[in-house]
Amino acid sequence: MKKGLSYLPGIALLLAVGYAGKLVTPYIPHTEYVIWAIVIGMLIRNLLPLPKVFLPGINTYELWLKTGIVLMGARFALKSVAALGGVGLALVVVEIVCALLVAAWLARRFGLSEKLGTLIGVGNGICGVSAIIGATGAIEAKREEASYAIAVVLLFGAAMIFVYPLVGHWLGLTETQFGFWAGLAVDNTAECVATGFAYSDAAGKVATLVKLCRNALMGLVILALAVMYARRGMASEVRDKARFLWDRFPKFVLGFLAFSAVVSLGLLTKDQVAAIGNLSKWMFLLTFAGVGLTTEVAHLKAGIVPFVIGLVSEVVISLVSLGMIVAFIA
Amino acid sequence: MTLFGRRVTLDWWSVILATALAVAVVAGVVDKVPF
Repeated sequence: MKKGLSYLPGIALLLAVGYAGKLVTPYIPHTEYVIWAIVIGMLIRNLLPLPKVFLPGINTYELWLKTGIVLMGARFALKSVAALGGVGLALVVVEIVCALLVAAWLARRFGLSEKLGTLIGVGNGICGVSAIIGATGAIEAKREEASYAIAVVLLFGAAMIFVYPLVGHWLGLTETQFGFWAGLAVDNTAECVATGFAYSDAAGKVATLVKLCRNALMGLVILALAVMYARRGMASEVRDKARFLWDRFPKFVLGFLAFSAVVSLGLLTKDQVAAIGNLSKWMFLLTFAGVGLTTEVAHLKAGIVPFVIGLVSEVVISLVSLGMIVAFIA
Repeated sequence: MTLFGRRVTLDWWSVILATALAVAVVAGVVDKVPF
């Protein structure tokens, strides 16, 4: 009970910051509340001494993110999930292969360890921090290598929230195109969803769905890497592969699909679907405030070589993703 | 965190919480949710 109460101040702060972002938005034309929730959160975290009492609650933002994604399933008919997800999966496979190859090549060229290159590739290609943590254990990389890779992913994730919508508007991308772009190229799930919604609601929906395709493939890619490193005697062998895959499968994706199925079967009224959709948006409001409140600029130090590799790799992935989207998505 | 003595991961907590919210909507506990 006491532990539960310790989360309350931070959760209240998430709500206050997210809501402040929502209140500010009408006064600043052509912006979405997402950006302001994150900016206000970052200002508070980096300019004010944040009392420790807020920290447990602030760190719950990943729960709100995943709950928001599950609830968001109600805003998708299964047909659209299959249509968008099918195209998304095909593009995601190309994007992941590209990310791994580019990071591996750059790591070799700059004399970084092969495992750090793999971790940066995994972070850029699949699912940001959780994929890096998963892959670190599987390929037996050093903790320091994981820290570098995580710093790279967080640094560029934070930058992309602000840069991508500007570039998207400048290029005149449609909401669907931008959603695919953010879903394919932005690393961490929270930042990816934020980037999509910073463009528009429709773009945010597409970005989230495409990102779920990347998340769903996380186990498979990490397993492939673990097997590859084990064959070369650089990591232990994976014994129970089915268990390995299940442990790394993001279960909230199942919740998302279940919600989508319930709505597609017509089991809920229009008002109920609208209410669940709006609850999902409230969850995301808490999430975006959390992204800002947990972004400490002083901690985004990746080291110059991992930074350069991350930058080049991100630019290549962004361009490749953009090329595929302009070619295949209307 | 645990639920009925069993360790529950964050992913499953998100599914549980989302389901509880949806049930509250369907049961009419939460009626209209503006955003």
